[in-house]
Amino acid sequence: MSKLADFSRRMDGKMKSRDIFWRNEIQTNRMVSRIMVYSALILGLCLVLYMWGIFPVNIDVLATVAFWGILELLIPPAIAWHLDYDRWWIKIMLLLAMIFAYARIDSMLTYKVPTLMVVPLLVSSRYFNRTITIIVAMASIVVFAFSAIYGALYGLLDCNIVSLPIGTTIVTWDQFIGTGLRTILNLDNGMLIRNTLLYSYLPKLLIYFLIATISVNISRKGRELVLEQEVTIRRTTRMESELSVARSIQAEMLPKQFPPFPEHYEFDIYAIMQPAKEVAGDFYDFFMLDDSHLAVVMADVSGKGVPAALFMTTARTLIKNHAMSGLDPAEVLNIVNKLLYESSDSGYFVTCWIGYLDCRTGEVIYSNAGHTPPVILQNGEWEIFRCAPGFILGGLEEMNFKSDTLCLKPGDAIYLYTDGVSEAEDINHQLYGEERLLEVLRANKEDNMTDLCKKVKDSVEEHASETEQFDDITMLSVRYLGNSQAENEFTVEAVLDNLDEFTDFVNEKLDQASCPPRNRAQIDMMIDELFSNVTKFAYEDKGGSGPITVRVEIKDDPRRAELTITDNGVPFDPVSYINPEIDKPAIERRIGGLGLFMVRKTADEMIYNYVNGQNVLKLTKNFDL
Amino acid sequence: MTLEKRKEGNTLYLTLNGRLDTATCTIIEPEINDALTDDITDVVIDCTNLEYLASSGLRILLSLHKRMAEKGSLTLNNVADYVMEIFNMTGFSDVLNINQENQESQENQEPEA
Repeated sequence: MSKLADFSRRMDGKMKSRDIFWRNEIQTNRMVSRIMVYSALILGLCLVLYMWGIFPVNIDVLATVAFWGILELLIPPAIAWHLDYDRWWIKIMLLLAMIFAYARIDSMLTYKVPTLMVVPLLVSSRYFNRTITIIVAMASIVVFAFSAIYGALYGLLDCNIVSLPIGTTIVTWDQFIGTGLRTILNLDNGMLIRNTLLYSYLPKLLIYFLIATISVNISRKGRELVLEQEVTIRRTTRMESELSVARSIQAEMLPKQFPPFPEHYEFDIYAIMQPAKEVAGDFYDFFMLDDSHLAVVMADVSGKGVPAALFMTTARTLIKNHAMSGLDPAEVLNIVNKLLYESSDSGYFVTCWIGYLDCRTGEVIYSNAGHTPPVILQNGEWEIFRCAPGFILGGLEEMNFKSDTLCLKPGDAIYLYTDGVSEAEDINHQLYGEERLLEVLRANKEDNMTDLCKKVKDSVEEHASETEQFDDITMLSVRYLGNSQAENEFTVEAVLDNLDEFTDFVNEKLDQASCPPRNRAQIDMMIDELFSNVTKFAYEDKGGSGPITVRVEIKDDPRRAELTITDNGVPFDPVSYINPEIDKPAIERRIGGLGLFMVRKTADEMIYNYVNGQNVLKLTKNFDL
Repeated sequence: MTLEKRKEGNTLYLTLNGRLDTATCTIIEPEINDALTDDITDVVIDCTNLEYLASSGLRILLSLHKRMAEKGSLTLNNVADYVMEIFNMTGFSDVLNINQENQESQENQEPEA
């Protein structure tokens, strides 16, 4: 008994280890059960037909067959259902019960149901288990041999197999042939059995043999297919996860830290690449060529998928390397075009817009290789910049790109994008288009580049909200803020290590104005408190760092220093900030608010404004006489 | 900013030179904590050359004060006028033990202080 239990457990374990076949077996158990229930219903129908007199069989035989048959056809499915079809032996129980029940029917209706014995065999091949199919074939052959013999003796008599004396005329119901002929003619049982086996069972057996061969083949082939499918699925899953890793690596390669160069107050830049489901070949790039030149690149590789992504990596590296080597935009495009052409047998190509911004003058030298023209904010309005389109990179071996210049005044901006923006489709296949883009840009002229890009992205996503994002949404926006920074202004990245440098700059200006040492110490303290405040809190949600600027102005009547401290961080008003513990004695307060308290006590005037996404704090300290 | 440390018996003498600003506080604080061994009962800080201090400097002094209050004393010597202003402004002067009397500092005093 325990051995059986052991075997049973092992079989269950074996089945479950092949997960897909286990699922398949449960499905098949369910199907076989359903067929058995249908068979029981048909058997019931036979009884009804008999009662109407349409079905002339021996009622004794029919009643027995129907009774046992229905039991055999209903009880095993009920057990299987009760166990959730979830035992290894259920298939055997179901198939055997089916064979026995059908054999009963066969023994009653004999020549009327010659195809019935094929059903268990066909059903068994659905298990995709060759052994099961062979066992069912064998069992069917044996059981149906018995049912043939039994049928010859008690079932419907097939007159074709009875040798009757020549001249016998039979005019009667089948029912009476059965009962009548056997008794009237006193038929020999041995003859009946022999003839049945020879003329009815044997031909069926031969056909059965053919069908069995097919069934065994189906179950074997089915198993192979299921296995193959599983391997394919696993491989596809792995490929998909690798692709998604590739996609994130690709996105990671692009500069992502904003502001990227906190020491450069001359421009505001932001860029977004929102990859589509599939890896693709859009990219933006920007980098400093030297202290005063910012290069921006927007490019789109034709096609999609891994080849496009690889091509993009090559293109990006080539463009950056050649730009860094001091070539002007057209020369960069000429060389990169040649290199890409040579390396691209597969016909991939790139469209690219590249420009160098001179931070001192606002002049932009640019060249275009077939890329969508940028949108430019000049004279207070965003307009599509109709520059010469140029030919694509990697298409023809020798190209002669031209560089052009445009001049940005402080406040002007360039917005670069790829067709993922303009060609985003809504459900009616309406493109997002330049008009919508211009509308959003114009409505948000005053925004900083970060907000502007995010608003365009949101607008594109809203437009295409009911469709799957087909193409990467890539954009880059840069605003020239001007080189207005005079001698009395100083910008550093707001990190504590730069505090000394920052204070030194202020002290230098104060010393030039012969600021009394006491006032100098007071101003230093205020700078310290405000600077450290910005380092701690202003850029917390912008990646932790950003620029801080101080402007020092010395005024007379009364002689005083006016300091303007600016940062791009979260809005924070140090003037009206109320220390929650202001009522407690200073010594018991949380030390955090103490610095601002000291600044407010020390300053002669403090004015705070939040303008253009910047905290601007103006501090006045009168000099001692 | 430099910190000089000298130990005599159970007294720790510290000299603060330069600006005790937010950046230097992060360096100074562990140094002081290291010097503050269990046997020290009194701490004397010479502030002659302390140019100014920010709230983070106050924080260090306050925690030092709290630790020393349990077993001895914290004394600040030769506190310059401007630094004293900060102590007055923030109420630290009521809590800390501060000596301003120093010949040099009196000579250098600002006229209107």
